[in-house]
Amino acid sequence: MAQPRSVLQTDKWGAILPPMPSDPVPPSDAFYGEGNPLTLVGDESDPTAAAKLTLKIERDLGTLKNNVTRRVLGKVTEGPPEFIGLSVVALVYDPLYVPLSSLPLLWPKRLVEKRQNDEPESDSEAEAAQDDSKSWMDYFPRPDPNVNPRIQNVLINKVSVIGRSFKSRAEYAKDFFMKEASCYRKLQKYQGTIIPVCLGSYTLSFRDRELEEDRTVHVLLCLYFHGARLDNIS
Amino acid sequence: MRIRLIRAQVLGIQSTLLNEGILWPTIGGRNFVMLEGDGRIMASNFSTTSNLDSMDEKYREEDIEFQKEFLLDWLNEAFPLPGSVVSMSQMDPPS
Repeated sequence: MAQPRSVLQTDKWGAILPPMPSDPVPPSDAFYGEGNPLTLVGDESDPTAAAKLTLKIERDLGTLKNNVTRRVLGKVTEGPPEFIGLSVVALVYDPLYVPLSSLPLLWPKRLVEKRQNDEPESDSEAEAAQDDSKSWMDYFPRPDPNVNPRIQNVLINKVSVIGRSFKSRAEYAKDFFMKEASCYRKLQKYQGTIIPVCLGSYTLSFRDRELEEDRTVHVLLCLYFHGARLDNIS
Repeated sequence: MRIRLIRAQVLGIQSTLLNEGILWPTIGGRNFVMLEGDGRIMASNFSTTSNLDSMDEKYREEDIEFQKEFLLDWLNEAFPLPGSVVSMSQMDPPS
């Protein structure tokens, strides 16, 4: 039976788990299998992105070593005329398929302060740790009015004894997307020479997914180029 | 000649990124593709890059040097320069 969303889930060591779907996750083929259409909506902040386009998937190349970036080959079938027929690689950052084991741990302020007392650190290191603790607090679920606040507090106190949490899957996936997108922006003048041409950043919407954070998927679209990977060349 | 071209292009890509303020933890061959035809090399997969400006000054130079060495080590292993490896026939016979 699915747990109520307001109750914090923890692992066996007491670390707070990010929100997880209660139903089994469908295989990635369901969304990224050959022949599936993907409808992408361009990010308004990105002038290089088309407002909307659809691509037909030709092959799912799976995720990279970071377990987040999924590469999907496809062809644009609908959208602005200049995009139609282009062979593209969609870099998909889908939080639903981020393995729990990949998520970084976040540490609460209390433990950071204790560590600082035990092991004196430089100012810059202490500041970095404080930043982490702030983001850790951000991942506490908002109080649910339907749940007795005392129960919620007991749970929070219990896990705070060990006091650590995982970064949410959506935030983790978004971090990778942001880094990739920012890199392509910075290297705009090199697109098509030493890096692929980027066709903009987009979002995919899966409205029927259980959790809000899994419904929006960030995508970066690049022009496909044919060649041999250097690790396959001898 | 081909090996020298590959090495030069890969090292050039790393330098370009560094000049643009991007530290790229280069993982190796999987991030580079040689295009059919002109033999041009393109790089991809930048989701683990860091912005040099936002890095702690104390570690910046150290990290840059480490990444440069890492890439060079990989190139020396995957695409060694001719003559840089002693072949078995050149080794002294066991006494």
